[in-house]
Parts: sequence; C-alpha cells; structure tokens
Amino acid sequence: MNFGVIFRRKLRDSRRSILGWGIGLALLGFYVAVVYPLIQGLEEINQLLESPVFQALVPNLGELDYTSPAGFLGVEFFTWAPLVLAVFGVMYGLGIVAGEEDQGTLDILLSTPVPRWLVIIEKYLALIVVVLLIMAMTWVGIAVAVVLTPDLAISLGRLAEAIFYMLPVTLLMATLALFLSTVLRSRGQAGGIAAAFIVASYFLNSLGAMAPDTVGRFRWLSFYNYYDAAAVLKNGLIWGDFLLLSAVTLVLLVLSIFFFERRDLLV
Amino acid sequence: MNASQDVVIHIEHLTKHYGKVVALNDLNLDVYRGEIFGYLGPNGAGKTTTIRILLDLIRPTAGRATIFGLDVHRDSVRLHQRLGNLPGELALWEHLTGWELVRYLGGLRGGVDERYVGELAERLDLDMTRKVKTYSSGMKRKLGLIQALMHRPDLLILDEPTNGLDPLVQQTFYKLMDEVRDEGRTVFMSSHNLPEVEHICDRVGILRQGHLKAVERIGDLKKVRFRWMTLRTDDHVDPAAFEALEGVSDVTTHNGTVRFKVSGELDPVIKTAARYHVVDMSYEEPSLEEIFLTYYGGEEQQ
Ligand SMILES: Nc1ncnc2c1ncn2[C@@H]1O[C@H](COP(=O)(O)OP(=O)(O)O)[C@@H](O)[C@H]1O
Ligand SMILES: [Mg+2]
Repeated sequence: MNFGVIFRRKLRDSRRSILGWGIGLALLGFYVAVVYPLIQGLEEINQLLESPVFQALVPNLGELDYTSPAGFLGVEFFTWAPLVLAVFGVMYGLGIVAGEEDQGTLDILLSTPVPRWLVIIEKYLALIVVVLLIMAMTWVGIAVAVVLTPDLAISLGRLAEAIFYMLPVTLLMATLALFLSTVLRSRGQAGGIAAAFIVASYFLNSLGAMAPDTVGRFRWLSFYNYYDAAAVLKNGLIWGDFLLLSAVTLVLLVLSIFFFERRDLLV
Repeated sequence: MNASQDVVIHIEHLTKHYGKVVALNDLNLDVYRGEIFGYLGPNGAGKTTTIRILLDLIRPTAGRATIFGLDVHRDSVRLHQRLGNLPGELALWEHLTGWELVRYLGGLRGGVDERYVGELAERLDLDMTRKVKTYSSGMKRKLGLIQALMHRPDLLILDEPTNGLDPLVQQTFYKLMDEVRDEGRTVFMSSHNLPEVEHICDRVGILRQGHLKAVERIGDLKKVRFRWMTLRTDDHVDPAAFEALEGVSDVTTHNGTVRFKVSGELDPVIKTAARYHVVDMSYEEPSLEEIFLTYYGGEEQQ
C-alpha cells in the first residue's frame, strides 16, 4: 500500500476550489468587518432586536450586544459563513466516493492496490487541510479589516478561534453527505437530503429563537445549536460543542467506511 | 498446463443476482498460467459482471473466486499489485494529462517505469502530454491499455479491449498480448467478437445468459467454423450445383443471388462459382448465436 498518493492528488485537484471559497469568504468577512463602524453608534438597534420577530434574524446573539464587535460579527458574518462552509462540505463529501463512482473512475482507482477505506481516509484528510486553508484565508480577510478599523476591537486570536470553530460543522456536513452517498447510491438523493438538513438547521435555529415552545424544542437538531460564534469571539472555544460535533462526525465517518467496504460499486 | 499450481484464476460456483436479474449462474472456470483466455458472450451475458467480481468491485451472491490462490475479496489489495485492468466502460480522470494519469496510478503501485510507458505510448502512437479530455475515445482506450500494462502485471483482465480501437491499433494490441504470453504472463479478456478471440486466444469460454456453456480450445471451435457466402450473378443459379459440394449447406437462391454456409475448403465453391458470371460476392462471419447453434446442433436453444 502506498500512502499519501490519493491525499496529494486530491489536494492538487482542490487548488481552485480552495482559492474560490477562500477568497469568497475572506471578501465577505472583510466587507462585514469594515461596515461595523456604521452601526456601532446605533444603540437603538438593540431595543429593536428585543422584539421576537427580530430575534429570528439574529438567533446567534445570545447575551451579547449586537452593536459590540463580537455581537456584530457573530450575527453578520458567523451566521452565514457556516452555511457557506456547510455547502462546500456537502459538495466535497459527495465527491469523495459518489463523484468518482458516477464518473466511473472508481473502477480504475480500486483496481490498484488501494483498499476502499484508504480512499475515504486520504480524501478526508485532504478535506481537513482544504478547509483549514480556506479558514486561514478567511482569517486574513477579516484580520486585515480589523487592523484597518480601529473601532472593531476584537482579538485576532479569538477571531481565529471563532473561525476554527466552524471546522466541526463543515466536517459534519461533508461526512453526512459522504455517509448518505455510501448508503443511498445516488448522488442526487444524498445531496438533496444533506442540503435539506442545512436549510432545516438554519430555520430550526432562527424560527426556534422566535418560538421557543414549539419549533424551539427541535432546535437541538440544528447544527447552529452547537455553534455559538459570538460567545467564542468573546470567551474562546467551547470545547463541549466542538467535541460533540466531532464525535457525531466520527461515527458517521466510521459508518460510511463500513457501508462502502461492503457494497457493490455501480457501473 | 495441468499442474494445479499453474491455475491462475479459479472460479467456484460463482453466482450474482441483481435483484431479480440473474447475471451469473453457478459459474465454474479455471484459467491457467501463460494462456490468453477469451471470455466470449453476447451483450448482457455476464462478462463484465464476472470481471468486476474478480476485481472485487462487486461481490458475488454465492460462490467464490481466487487468483494466484488469493481470495479476490479478502486478499484484494495484495492481489491488485499483480493485476492490470482495462474496464469495458472506461472512465479516466479528464483533467489529467496522459502522463499525469500514469504517474498517479503508478504512484499507487509504488512507482512507474516511465521508459516502458514511453515505449508503449510510442507503439500505440499516443500523445501523453495532452489532457484526457481532449482525447478521442480511441485514444482513451489506448491510455487505458497503457495503464493496464505499465507495471507488467502477472495477470491482465481486459473487458472488451479492442472495442473502439482502429484496425491498425488492434494489430499492435494483438502483438502486445503475444508478448505478454511469451513472458509466461496470463491474459483474461472478454469479447463478443469471435474472429478476434480466434485470432489471439488459446482457449475460449462461451457465456450466455449467465451460464458458461462451453470451454474449448480454439482449435476445437474452429472445427465447427463456417462463413456465409453470398454470390450475385447475371444468370439463373442452380442451387443443386452448390448443395452437392462438401461443406456447403443451407443454400437459398433468389433471382441471380445465391447464399449458403461454407465450412472447410473453399476451392470447390470457387470453381463452381466460376461457371457463372459473378457480379458481386460477400463472405461473412457468422454471429456468435449461429456458432452456438452449430456447436450444439440447436439443442441448447433457449
Ligand atoms: N448494476 C446492475 N443492476 C441490474 N442489472 C445489472 C447490473 N449490471 C448488470 N446487470 C444485468 O446483468 C446482466 C449481465 O450484464 P453484464 O455482466 O454487463 O454483461 P456483458 O458484460 O456480458 O454484456 C445483464 O442482463 C445486465 O442487464
Ligand atoms: Mg460488458
């Protein structure tokens, strides 16, 4: 067995994707951060946000002040960034085996002395590197804005933690897509269900904030429930959530390998 | 070739169902070292299914197979080191160049002999510096062949290898296969084309609707070999003149055209035909079905 070949190939094949998603998120972060001084003084916004309707728009604020740097970034960037990364994760996860299976290249790949589990593991490790690179670019984008915007008083270390904190969410979504594609054998179905989960996560979270007694009861099903970026920006990583998401992800990864090892490859 | 250690592929009671479709039914087969084995059958016979089980891409419903004494599923990684595979429905990474693709797959095999690859590319006349997506389907088949051969595997498993190769390249392919055999290596190739199998194979297995109908040496199959001959003439042809010839049967006439089966010597047929003014003549290979029917005298008809 020759380790690292698929990993390096996948990284090389992901170059464009890293640049695209990385630059996109960096620009989004930069833009949000430089806008901060415009709303900084608008204390009235906080009163407005106390109404339940607006609660739905800023479900991730927690105890924080919207006009504080952590509160603002938490709402305006860290509500959308995980959605973007979740979509990226799903696309990558579908590509791990289903993409090559649809193309038909898996027949050639698996005729070499490479076990199926190794294909998954190496592409998975490449995913982690790819996501970390995208996150590093995102950090640079926001960090530049923070340096240029003295009012945006935020620690660059905390910022890094908040960005890194999106890793488990991204991996979870990639692994869910991978898992579904190993079980369902149809990339369309797997992608559809994973996408539905992303949308449901968002709405369970935002509507749940508005109606805690009804929709709110199912908020635990949303990945946002384990992802409080504003709090991380202020106080640092919340390891409990981080580890919980990682554990679920690991279980899904093991199940993906289990099912993929056993099933027929489609022609 | 009968010593048991020379068995390369050993297939035992192999059965594969896809839902209700029985693609393979209780297949038993041995392939020996140093032979080119032709796995012959019409479309849908189960050739690809057999090959994909041997490669551990799909799993049998029942039965088992070993290659070099190693179980195709349990020992697949060790086994694949010694196998070369050309899929029937060949798909390659379109964004890579020929060289990149060969280096990728070579990397997975622990290295690639670039000189040998270069030599193969030259013999097959393939530009390896271009991206696969710019290749024609014939060029892709060539690259598929190169990646199957490049590590000099002990066993080549080729699913309809000459499909999509032009006649000139087919000749090169036949030569390459001869060389593989001369080195004591083994080839298992599927085909639905009898003349091709006759041309290079030592033995042939005939598969039909998931059943292995026969395994024969090519020489034995040739005994039941026949062709269809059609003569178009200006005259009125007397069928009896041809019916009387040895090796001629199934004579039909229609206006000046006469059509019949020929097996054995052609000379008497040509001499008889010379009595007429022949405008056109065709000489066709029988279909696989016809060979079956001849081979089994029709009794195996399903
Ligand atoms: N994935 C599949 N699902 C259902 N039926 C299949 C599948 N693959 C092959 N078959 C069926 O199994 C039979 C054998 O197919 P195959 O092995 O591809 O034949 P060949 O390669 O000889 O043309 C055919 O009837 C085909 O329709
Ligand atoms: Mg086939």
